[in-house]
Formats: sequence, structure tokens, C-alpha cells
Amino acid sequence: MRSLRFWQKAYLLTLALFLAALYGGVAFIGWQNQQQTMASEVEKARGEQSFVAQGLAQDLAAVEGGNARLQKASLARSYGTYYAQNGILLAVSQNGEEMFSNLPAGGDAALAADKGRQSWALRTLDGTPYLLVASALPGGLDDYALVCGRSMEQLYATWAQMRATLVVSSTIVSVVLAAGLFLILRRLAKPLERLAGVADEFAAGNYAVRAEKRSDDEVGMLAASLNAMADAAERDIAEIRRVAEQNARMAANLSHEIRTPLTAIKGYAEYLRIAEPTDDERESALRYMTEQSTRLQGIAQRILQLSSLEHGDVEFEPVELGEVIDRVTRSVQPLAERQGVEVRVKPFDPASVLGDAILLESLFTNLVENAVRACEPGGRVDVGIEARGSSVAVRVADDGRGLAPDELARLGEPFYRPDKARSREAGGAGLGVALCNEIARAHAAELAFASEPGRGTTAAVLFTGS
Amino acid sequence: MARILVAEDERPINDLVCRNLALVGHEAVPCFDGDEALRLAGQERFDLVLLDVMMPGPTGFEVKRRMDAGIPVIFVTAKDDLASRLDGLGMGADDYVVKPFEILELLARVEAVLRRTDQHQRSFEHQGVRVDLATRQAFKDGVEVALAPKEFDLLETLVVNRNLALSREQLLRLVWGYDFEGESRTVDMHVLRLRKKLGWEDVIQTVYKVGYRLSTRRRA
Repeated sequence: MRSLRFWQKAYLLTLALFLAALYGGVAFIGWQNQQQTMASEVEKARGEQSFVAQGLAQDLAAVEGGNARLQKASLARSYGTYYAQNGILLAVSQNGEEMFSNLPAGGDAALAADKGRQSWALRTLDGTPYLLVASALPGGLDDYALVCGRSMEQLYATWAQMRATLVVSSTIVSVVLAAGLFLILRRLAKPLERLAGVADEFAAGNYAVRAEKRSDDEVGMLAASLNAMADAAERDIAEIRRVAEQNARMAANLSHEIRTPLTAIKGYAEYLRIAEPTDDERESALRYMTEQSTRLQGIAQRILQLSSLEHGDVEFEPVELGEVIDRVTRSVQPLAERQGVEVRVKPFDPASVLGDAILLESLFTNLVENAVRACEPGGRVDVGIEARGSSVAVRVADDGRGLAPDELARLGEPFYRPDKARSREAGGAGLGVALCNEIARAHAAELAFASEPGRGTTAAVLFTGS
Repeated sequence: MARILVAEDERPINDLVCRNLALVGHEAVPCFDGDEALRLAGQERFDLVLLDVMMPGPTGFEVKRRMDAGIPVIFVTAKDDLASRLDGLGMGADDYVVKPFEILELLARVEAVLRRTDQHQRSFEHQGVRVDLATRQAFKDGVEVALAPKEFDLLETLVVNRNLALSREQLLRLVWGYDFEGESRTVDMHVLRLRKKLGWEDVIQTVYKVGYRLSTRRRA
């Protein structure tokens, strides 16, 4: 049963049920009919026998005289002949001795005429079925017994014919139903197959495929549910892919960021060992090695910071933002001078937030350095603190090259740099903004960037009261 | 010797590669982005191009695609993943070197590519000695010097890696192969004989704690 399809199972079960009902019903009705017919036949036969008995009793009683016996016998015979024309055969006996009988052999002997009571039986006499009714004659002539019999042959034949008809028509109906049911169920099952096909295609990788909802019945509901499930799965798959790609990119970038300074350090160390450098060459080699070591150190530090932030080991205390900004602008001064960029801090009111002073300094140093690097010589970076109610906003605005919308979207990705080759001319390792995001997050603050290519960028850090 | 274009945006690494190429006798031309690489490769003749894959402007792969397909290319890159290697080699590069690399290994691969394209060094001259690498002969002041096969092999290795010190182990491996069961004393003895036969006592230097170096540079 398990290997059958659903519609096949439905089909077989429905068909079996129907056939059982059909044949059961027909058989029952047929049997009922037979019983009723038989009962009325018996009634009729009994009535007939009573009537004949009455008549015979009267006539017998009227016979007198010397050859009464002979006359009675002849009377019985004439009754027998007469009723035989109507299909009723009879046998008359007196005190058990047969006076007349046109019943086939065995017709009367078996019937014991009980005084006063009429009895009936079905007997096969001489190969033909008979309905026999017997009783003693009324009117005090109870030493006489009368048996009347009717052939049931015709009735039985009629019954057989009826049975045959029923069987044939039942069979025809069964066949028609079997065929019809088969077609209908198979048609109904098609939509289910179709939906299964859609699900299979989805599983095979076509995440955009959806089922067509063609009806409002259970199949239609299933189609709608399938589609909803596919939508959710497609979304999740897209998200997972995006994250996986991002992670792969990060890993590749990290690898590059680390291998590059290492190549320089290792290469120059080897060079110093096996080449025969002049003093100048040695000096420049050592200088490179030191620079690249510092760079590697910076990257390592940032990675560690990112990692520790993600694991949330930060301690908070009240921090004066004004002091932090002061320190930041002072430390950025050398870079700004080299780039020919002016960094200005707008007048502000004292504002304090709960946080980690060192991390916050790191955050703003990052933002201001990036702003400085984005500018051309002669450019400007403005830093401002605004306090509004319980929230504080720190803005760093530059009038430098700005970012395109797609660059803006990827800004927080670790190692991402707006110009794809990570040119070291502009400096930084691309970890800066990712780190800023993490620091902001750890302080329950929001970091947002707005930018117009060619006009400049503004970075805003919003500390909410919580 | 060969003219080699070095396209690498990291200045220290570009310097490093150019210096080492110069030490072994090649002419190295640096450039720092993809556009410059394409321009130079189009204007001047080069025997080999060393291409960094991650450069500003067109990537190394882009540059290779747009360049004349006849110029041998070695990709030098930090991208170690299989896909990148397959891409690089698949587009017809002659080799693919991953950073960080050993400078001797890079030089050996450069030599291998040059050999394939017949741009490698055939002969070498220094202080009266001429070495013909093709015919495997050495001449001192015009007179042929009889050298045993391994002596010549050692000479060739020193010449091809000149100005760079090679350890005894490295020389043993390069000249005698991995299966050689001998000691590094073998190297010492062969060096001694070479020095004597060629009069190169000052040319083949003993480098303290490193090995031996064939030096063609004047002492600073």
C-alpha cells in the first residue's frame, strides 16, 4: 500500500467502498424483494386452500346415500380437475387414506394435517418446486385433509431473471464508475504533481521559481504556502551568500594586508644577509623594514581591537568629549600639515558621555584622519560637537573627494577601501571604518556617513541618552 | 641580460625586486600602476614582465589581457587562493609567485622563464674570465680552462645568482641535487678549485655565516 500514489490509493479505496455498497445494497434489496414476494404468495396460497377446503367440506357434507364413498371420491376428483385448470393441484385424504391426488408423488404424505391448523411448506416434487398448504377440512370434517399445491417454477424463473439483470446492470455501473473515478482522480492529482515539481526545481537551485495558484481549494492553499516558504528561503539564502562573500573578501583582504609588509620585511632581511649592500643601500633597507614593521603592528593592533570589541570587554566611565577632540586634533596636526589641510574645531559646550576615553579617541582620530586624507591641499575639515537634550552628536565634515553611493554602502566592511587597489599613497589599512562602527556600537552610538562625490563627506556620531 | 618590467604598487617591494634583479645582471624598470605598465610595455621592449595582481587602475590580470601575448609574464601576488592561481596561469602567464617569496626563488623562476623564451644569459665575463654557458666552456685571458663537470655546474650557479650569497646547503642542493649524500665539504673543495683555476680568489667571496658569493660589484 505504501508504494502506491495518493490518487491510486484514493481510487482503490473509493472504488472498493462503492462496490461494497452497490453489491451489498442490491443483494439486500433483492433478498428483501424475494422475501416479500414469497410471503404474499404464501398468503395467497393459504387463502386459496381455505376457500377450496370450505367448498369441498360443504359439498362433501351434502353427499348421502349408499355409494357415498364413490360419490365423495368423484367429488374430490372433480374439484381436483377444476382447480388444476387454475394451476392449483390438490390431494384429498380421509383418515390418512388418499381419496384423490393430482399432486406429484410425496405431495401429501409429508404434510401432517394438524387438527384445526393450516400449515404450509415448500417442497420439490418430481423436480419442480411446489408451495403446499394443508389443513383438515372445516365444519367438523376433520378426519378429512386437503393439501393444495402451486408450482413455484415460474416464480423462481422470474427471480432468476431478475437476479441476472441486477448482476449485469451492477457490473456495468461498476465498470463505468471505475473508469470515471480513475480519470477524475488522476486529473485532480495533477496539480499536486505540478507543485511537487516546483518544489523539486527550487531544491535543485532555482530559487526564483514559484508555483502558480490556480484555485482556492486546498491545492491552491498549498501553492500559496509553498510560495511563501520559497520567498523566505530565497531571502535567507541571499543573505547567507552575501555574508559568506563578505567574509571571503575580508579574509582575502586581511591576507593581503598582512602579507605585503611581511614580504618587504622578509625580503630586505634576506637582502641584507646575502647581497653586498652599500651603506646607502643598507640604510634604505633597514628603513623600509622599520616602516613596514610599524605598519604591521598597526594592523595587528586594530585587528585585536576589533576582536576585543566584538567580545565586549569594554569598561565605561564619564568622558569629556571636548578633551577627546582636543587630543585628536593635536595628534592629527602633523598629518594635516603634510597634506596641506586645515582642521578646525567649532566652538562647543561641554558635553560628556559614558564611554572608554581611549576607544573614543581612536574613533575620532580615525574619522578625522580619513577626512584629512580625502581632501586636496587647501581643503578643510570641520569638527563640531552638538548637545541636544540627552543626546550628543559629533560631526566631522570635509570638503574632499566624497564617496559614490556604492562606496558609501560598503564603507564599514573591514579592509574595504573606496579605491579598490588599496593604494597606500592615501594611507590607512581599510580597517578604520569597521573599527569605528564597532566602537560606536559598543557605546550604543550611531555612526552615519553622508557624502557627495566631489563635494565632501560628513561623518556623524550620535550618542543617545541611553 | 634581460630587460624586465616590474609592475608593483608597493614601493618597498618594487625596490626590493628591482635591486635583486640588478644584482644578478638584469635591467629592471619599475612602474607603480596598471596603466603605466601597459604604456611602458607598449612603448619599449621587455624580455619579461613581473606583474602584481592588485594594483590601482587595471589589475594585473587586466594588464596581461591587454598586453601583447608574446611577452612572458610572471604574476607576483598575495592572492594565494586556487581560483586566482588558476585564473592567472589559465590566461597564459608563465608563472605565478605568491607573496611573501624568497628572493632566490623568484630569481630562479625568472631564469626559468627566460630560458624558455631563449632570453637567458649565454655568456658572462668578468676580470679576464669568460664563461660560455651554452658550450660549457670557461676561458681565462683567452685560454680555455679545464673544468670538471661539477665544477662548471657550480660556476654556472654562482654566475646566474651573482652578487647574492648562497649557503652551502643551497649550493649542494642546486648543483648536486637532493639525493646527494655528501657533506658541505664538497662545496668548499670545489670552490677552492674554481678560485685557483680562474684566479678568482677575490671574486668568489666567503660570506661569514652564510656561504659563498660571486661578486661583480666593486667594494664600496
